[in-house]
Amino acid sequence: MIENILLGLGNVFQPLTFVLMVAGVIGGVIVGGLPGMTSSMGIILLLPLTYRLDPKVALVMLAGMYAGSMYGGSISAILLRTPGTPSASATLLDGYPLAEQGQAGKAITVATIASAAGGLFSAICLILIAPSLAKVALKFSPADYFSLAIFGLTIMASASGKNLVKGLLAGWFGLLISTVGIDPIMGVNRFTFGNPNLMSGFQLLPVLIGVFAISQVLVEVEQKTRPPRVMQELDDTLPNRQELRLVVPAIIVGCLVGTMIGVIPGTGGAIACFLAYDIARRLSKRQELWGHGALEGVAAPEAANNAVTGGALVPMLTLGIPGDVVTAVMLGALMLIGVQPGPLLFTQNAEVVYTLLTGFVIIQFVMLIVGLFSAKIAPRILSVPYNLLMPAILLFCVVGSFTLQNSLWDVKVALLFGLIGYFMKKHNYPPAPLVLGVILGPMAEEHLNRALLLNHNDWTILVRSPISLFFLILSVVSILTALFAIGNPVKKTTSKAA
Amino acid sequence: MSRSDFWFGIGFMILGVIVFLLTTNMMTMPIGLSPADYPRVIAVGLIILGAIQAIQGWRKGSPSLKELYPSGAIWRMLGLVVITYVYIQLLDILGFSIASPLFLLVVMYYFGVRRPVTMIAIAVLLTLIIYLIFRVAFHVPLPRFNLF
Repeated sequence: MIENILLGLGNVFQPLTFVLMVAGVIGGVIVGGLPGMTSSMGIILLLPLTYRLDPKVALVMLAGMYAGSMYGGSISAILLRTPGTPSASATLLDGYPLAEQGQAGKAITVATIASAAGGLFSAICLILIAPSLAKVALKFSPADYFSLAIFGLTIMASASGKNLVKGLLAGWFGLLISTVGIDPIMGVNRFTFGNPNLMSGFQLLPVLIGVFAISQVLVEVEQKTRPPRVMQELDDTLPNRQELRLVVPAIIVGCLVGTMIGVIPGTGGAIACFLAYDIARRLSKRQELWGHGALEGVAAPEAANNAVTGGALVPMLTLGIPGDVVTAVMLGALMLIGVQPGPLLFTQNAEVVYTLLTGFVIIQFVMLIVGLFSAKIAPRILSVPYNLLMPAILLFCVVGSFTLQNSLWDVKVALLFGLIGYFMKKHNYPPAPLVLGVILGPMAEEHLNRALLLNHNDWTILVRSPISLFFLILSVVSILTALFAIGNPVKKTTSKAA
Repeated sequence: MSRSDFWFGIGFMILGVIVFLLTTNMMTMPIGLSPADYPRVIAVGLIILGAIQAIQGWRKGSPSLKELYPSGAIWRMLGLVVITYVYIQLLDILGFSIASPLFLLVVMYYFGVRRPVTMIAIAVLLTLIIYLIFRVAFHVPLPRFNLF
């Protein structure tokens, strides 16, 4: 393992990789800072540029975007009371009161330090946990993989909270989309309607671009003009020693909660940040200040939402099951780059995966430096005019979809899924299960077929194999939990803040 | 209040039935999954989930359509879809270098930008940057002018 880590470090410090990693972090901070632009959207917009690069370089750049955007969400949460990403929802509870008291600079600096600490802690956990979990996962049979895919879908749907049925419908619709094209078993055309373009099915990149990026542009066009944002100048950006001492316990809580929540598939930063905020507030000696401008109230959720990043990569890299919405997109990104997540990744692509793991550690230091240097100019990110940004994004979406196979058909597919994504947003159908259905659909079908062939059409193999049974039980539990979770205090807080 | 969730549920049920019917002509296999089996499972799932959605939507109702789609919003959105579709069609004829600045000018105007110098500068610069990244750096062939 040490050898692989050293090899990974060597790769990360290659000039091109390092420069693109820094560019990914800076891009992530900007994307995360802009309300309406999510981490998923940033990763998707970066994909057309990265899938022609060496997978090692591409992955580190995408990871930089992921971590940077998670931190960037705090900027608009603090300055505008609007979280740049859902993961920054809890940051505004104390971040905005601090900004009202003229301490926005200090709040952003604390958010930067907490984010870097959270990310670093989870990156170390990722390096320690992931290889061991991958070794266990190597023993999985086809039936186990099928049940794992079903589990992946149900957790993502159940993460939709009170919209469980809508989440499941979105996931099922994604599964349906994945069946279009030549079937993997007999080579028969399915739902192609004589259109040769449909024979290879719907490609993942145009679907991702449509559902996450074009749909957002279509939502933005509804508002003809956006009110201009008045930003305060940030002068006093550095917290003093006493303030730093105050935020340390909150950061520790955020690191632990974020990493643990991140490892649980289907959770994500929004849940982690509220949970960390709540626990850190209960442990605090000056609870009365929370909600009125306590720096700890910024530190805890920010450490947590960045700690989620490393945690969420554990199930994604080792099992091929994403930990949250953004890692669902990262999963798609990895496959497009040509890296198949799962237990074999650690044996077949050790150099690639260890470059990502070590890169993830270095990214936290880069994020700290970028964040501290950019704290004073953070308000300028928010003054980017949307009426110029959205046309640029739309053009990039068109070009990005085209470059996959040099085909205008893919661009039309992206536009179609943009329209589908728009209506999904309007009617509260979560997009992540759809994407996961498209990704996991072929995996589920292939492994189910293999399991049935190996067991002479005996479907009971799905419950006879202990691992398969375990994942099926987990699937049922995740759906039942979602059904009974409406009264969950964490979710109540989430909806209140949103 | 509207019944949009109810109608979406019905729509998913109809989709499930259509998918199931489309699989009836597909070949079957003596062992393992046949090409029709997997889509059929999905079709049944869509019908069941669609029914649950329809029942929930009928009982609880959904936000009113006026709330979801403020006045003129859907037409502005559809207008942008049409503009983008026309651009995709024009890419094949005019090529990336000519069609893209025109597309950007139209879309910026559509988004409310009214400063001609800014619009022209961004349209040209952005097209050039994207061309340099994809065509020159990554050697990706972008659509070229093609009259015939």
